[in-house]
Amino acid sequence: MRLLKNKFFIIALAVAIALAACTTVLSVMGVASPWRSILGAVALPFRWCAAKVAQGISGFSAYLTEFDRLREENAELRREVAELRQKLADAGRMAEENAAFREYLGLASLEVKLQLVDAVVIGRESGGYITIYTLNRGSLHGIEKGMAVISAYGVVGYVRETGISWCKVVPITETISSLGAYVEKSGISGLVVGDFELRDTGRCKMTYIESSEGFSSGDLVVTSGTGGIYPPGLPVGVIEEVVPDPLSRTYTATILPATDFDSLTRVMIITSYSLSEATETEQTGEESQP
Amino acid sequence: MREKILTPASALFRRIIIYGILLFFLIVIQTSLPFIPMFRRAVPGLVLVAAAAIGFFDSEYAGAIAGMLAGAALDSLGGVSLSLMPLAGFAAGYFCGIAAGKKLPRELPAFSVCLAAVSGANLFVTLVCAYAANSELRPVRLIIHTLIPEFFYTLLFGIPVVLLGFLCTKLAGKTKRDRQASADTRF
Repeated sequence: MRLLKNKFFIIALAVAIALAACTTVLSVMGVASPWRSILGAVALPFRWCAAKVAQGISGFSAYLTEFDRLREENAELRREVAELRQKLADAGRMAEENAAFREYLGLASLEVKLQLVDAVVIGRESGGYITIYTLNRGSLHGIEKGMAVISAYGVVGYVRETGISWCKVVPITETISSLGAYVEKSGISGLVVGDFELRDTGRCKMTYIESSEGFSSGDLVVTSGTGGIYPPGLPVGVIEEVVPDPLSRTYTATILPATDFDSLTRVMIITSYSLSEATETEQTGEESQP
Repeated sequence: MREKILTPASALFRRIIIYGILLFFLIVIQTSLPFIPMFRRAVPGLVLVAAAAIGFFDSEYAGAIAGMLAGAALDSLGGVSLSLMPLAGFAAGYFCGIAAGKKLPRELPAFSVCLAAVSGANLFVTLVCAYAANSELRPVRLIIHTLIPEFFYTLLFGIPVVLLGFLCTKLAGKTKRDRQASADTRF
């Protein structure tokens, strides 16, 4: 009770509560206040340096501890490259056949054109319960809330908040993320969402799958384009296992994301995309095919 | 009474600069640690420890204000949904400052009690934030994978932070007269 008679304690406590409430509300709204924007901009170069040092430490420790694992992985990848080369040759032949059939039937194929902005991961806030990435691109670079973020391998997540020169990205492995997707091979659709237990292993899950037939482990899952954030056809990951959902008549699949979140350093932000009928393969300026 | 807690403007300015640099440095480190796989699931609460150290070795006023502002800055730079660090920083700085001199001597070994208390408080913040972000969490998993490592990381990596905080308070020029003035004005 003596504390409540202390003027300094009362005033400072009130200010602390106000600060906490303001930060919470702004965070929930996804709005960067001037204070957050300025602080983020000032801290940007320091965080970039600290991130580089931390990545260096991480890389050095990985070199010491994971040499054997990397050697085995290298051998496995070599085998996979040989298989993929064979598949690529088959795919080229099939693409030619496909184009011939399309022409014969008079069908048009859809092509996704992306406007991309490259970015570097400079912050990785993890409170043990949620991981948010901070990128070195913000509203100055045309980045807006709700834009999709991809890596060279597949989907990373979406922009949750933007500042002047930074933005925060929620990865697909987080529980607050969800995206429409389908199995490329069979077309079976579902919802890819984060899971607290799976995120520790860098995985997420695909829910609301109506049938366990028509796909198997190793099948590629791609974005469906529903929801408007992610363009269709972007690789999400591969299916590892499918189990029945105990609470409904649907199935849940564990997805290994195409993007390796442990070594994520460079990403691309999709500032806009358009679907158009493909006439011929063309790439101009910043536009590129994922 | 009022004259005792006031410090000359230059000394105050020096404190703001020194503590500001220390806390900014720790905020940058704390938000970069998850790049290292070891800290991916559990990040030590370095900023909270620094605020407590400032409160302990300087005064509860300095600790409370530094903790509150550093907590707000940390949550602003981070991606949290529920911001509790301004409150936690304020409490850590203030109560460690109160404990110093009255309950504990203002010496480095005595701070170990505060360090353990701050590590525990950090867990409470993580627990609340985790359930605010996802209410369906399994408590056992959260305790094993996040809370226990976080507690020990905060204890372990808090030691150099305490030393740094101690050096900064020395550098800031906190005199015995200031400490006495601070102790005299409590309650």
